[in-house]
Amino acid sequence: MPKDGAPEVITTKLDDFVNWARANSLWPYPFGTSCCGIEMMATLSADYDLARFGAEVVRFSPRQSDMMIVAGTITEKMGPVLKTIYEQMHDPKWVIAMGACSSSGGIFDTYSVVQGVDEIIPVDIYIPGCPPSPEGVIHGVMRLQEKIKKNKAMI
Amino acid sequence: MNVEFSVDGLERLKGRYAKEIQELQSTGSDVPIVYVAKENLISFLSSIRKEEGFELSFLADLTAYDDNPPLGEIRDYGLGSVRKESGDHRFVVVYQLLSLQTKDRLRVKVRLNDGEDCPSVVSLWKSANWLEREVFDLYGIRFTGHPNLKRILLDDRWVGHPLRKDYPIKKYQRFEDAASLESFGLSLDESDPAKKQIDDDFEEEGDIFEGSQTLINIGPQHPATHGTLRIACKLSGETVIDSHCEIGYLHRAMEKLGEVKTYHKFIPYTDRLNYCSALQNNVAYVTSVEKLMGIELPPRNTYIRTMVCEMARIIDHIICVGISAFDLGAMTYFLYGFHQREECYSLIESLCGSRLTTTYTRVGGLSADLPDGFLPRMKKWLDGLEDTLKEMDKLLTNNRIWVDRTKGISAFTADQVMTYSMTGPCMRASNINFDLRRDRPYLAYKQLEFDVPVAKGGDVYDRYLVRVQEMYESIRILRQIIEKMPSGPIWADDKRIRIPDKGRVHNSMESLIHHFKFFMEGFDVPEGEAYVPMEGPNGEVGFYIVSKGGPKAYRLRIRAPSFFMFQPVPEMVKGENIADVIAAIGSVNIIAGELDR
Repeated sequence: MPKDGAPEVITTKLDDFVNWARANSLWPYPFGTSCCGIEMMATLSADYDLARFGAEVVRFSPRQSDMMIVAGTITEKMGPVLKTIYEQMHDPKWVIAMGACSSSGGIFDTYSVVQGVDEIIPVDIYIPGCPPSPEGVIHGVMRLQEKIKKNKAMI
Repeated sequence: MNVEFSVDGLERLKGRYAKEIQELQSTGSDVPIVYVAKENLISFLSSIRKEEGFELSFLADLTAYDDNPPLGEIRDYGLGSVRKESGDHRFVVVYQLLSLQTKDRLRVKVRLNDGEDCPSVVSLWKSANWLEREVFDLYGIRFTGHPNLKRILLDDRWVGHPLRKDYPIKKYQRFEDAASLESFGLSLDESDPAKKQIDDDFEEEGDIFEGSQTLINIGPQHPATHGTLRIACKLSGETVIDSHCEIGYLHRAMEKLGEVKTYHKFIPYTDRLNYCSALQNNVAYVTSVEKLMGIELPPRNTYIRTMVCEMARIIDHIICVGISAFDLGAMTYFLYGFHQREECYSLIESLCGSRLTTTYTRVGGLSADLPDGFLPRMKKWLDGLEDTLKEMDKLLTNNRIWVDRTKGISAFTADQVMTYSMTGPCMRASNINFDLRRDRPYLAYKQLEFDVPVAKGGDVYDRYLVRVQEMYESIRILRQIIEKMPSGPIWADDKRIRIPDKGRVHNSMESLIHHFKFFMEGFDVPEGEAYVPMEGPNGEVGFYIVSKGGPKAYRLRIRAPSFFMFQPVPEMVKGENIADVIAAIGSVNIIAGELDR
């Protein structure tokens, strides 16, 4: 605030403003099933602290969250559950496929494993690794923020 | 290698059960095998579990393998040495028995034809319930007298039995919807007078929910299950009157993969079983393969392996205690404990280049020796960890809220633990003093001093106490290892398994060819079978490998402790409040990766 008390004004485009707000307040839904879930916990906990990127408010209710992190293998038995939860999330929503299993089935090319969650739901960001290191997850979230900032949906 | 059964015990066994035993194989260093006709199975098992001198009263595992598949139907499925066996049986059902008195083990086998039924042993051990369902699911063997013979890992609509040799590994089957709550056999009691009452006089005073029944579904995606478990609870008010556990949401076909991958290529898969203590699984798996090949390890190798097992135990216990406290509202342990875990992860990362999925061991060796300055770093970590543990101890052990939430909750007696085949900290919390590290010492545990913590109550609080004390013991073991760490090679002196040095591979053609053949074709493992049980953080973990020669296992069975921990949960939580279900699940520490395999 300037010293004379006059209000500051920033002029911007509506798109940019909305995207800025959305990108910096992502509410993750952690769909952790296996090993990647442990690394996701490490990313969220004190040492790596995903809160620095505005994405610390983990919500286990799909209706309160807008970024789903699919962390771990999705089996054929789990597939319908994943789809249901995705459909319960409100728009706008984004999906991060964390790790090799959720991106492509990974090393589990077997009868019971879905070969990539993009067979079931749309995916925005794929994070490689088995499991990805917490730095990798943070990188993925930052790439998603970039993607959101380029969104042109408002006007 | 220790002998798993005393020689005179075998002689006595032969004499005492001459009528029942069809065939007795002594396998040298491994567990002796007894073949029994299926008509005599129940009488043999129920007699030997009580017989003086044997007392094989603990069912460590129950599994099967496809011994004699129809060769004409098997095309190139990438399977190992499938061949025609003598005899016209198709399947072999395997019972792994253990005596907590003599610490002996015995493997009982039953041969079955295709389509033939096997008598169920659920009347002897309750743990056999899920184990037999699993065998039915994966092999299609039916058990007569089983109370609920349904599929367990796969969907009810699945066609075929995937662990049969004639089921291709990539034959996917997709279903559009998940199993409904109604399919679990829990139905609300419509004739319940209390429920009727509520419907009729809704205006009545008092607690309208008193006595009313509700079905509640927890999971498979729920924050407190830390994985893909599903529990359906039938509640009366807030009290659980019945519940059903559904598993299989993370069934990744590990055991089938064990049959199509060479022995070395399977090591990365073992990381992903219990991903909280991957190093322990690495060690347990390669030790079984080494036993089959008769490889003796140099002392430095055994010490490093012991060290990584104890590190795995600490990080596994931190995550178990931290997260179960987190679920009950004590968040501090999680945050502080995870910091110490991160320190341990950076140690592990310096050891093998990866944090979680380590793939550290090799058959007959290790992927790398300790890096420079590793032991001093570990010493520093241990000091910090001990301080943190003491602080956490102060924070939780005498905390009234924590004690109120955990004491007396889901208590299990020693008998219940025995019938459900629970092992590890949960067993010791129920006053059974059994620890494989002390009672059947493997690796370097014989040269190390440690105590085995045992508690009496068997409730959530005691499981917590045992885990915390075990962490202190692990710190003690690790400090001794730092003092005693021998120098010398880390690889066994055996040409069959020696991986050529990377330096030579890049510079000489012969080494490059050797390297290529070693990893593409694998190495031959002699015929036979081996099972090396180890005391993992969660309980007995072991890999039962049946080899028929060649570079791939014929059958690879994973004895994962979590499978045995989850089955008794309905009995544990019966009569408790719904909120205590979360405390109970947290205390038995179920890791979905090894639960469903």
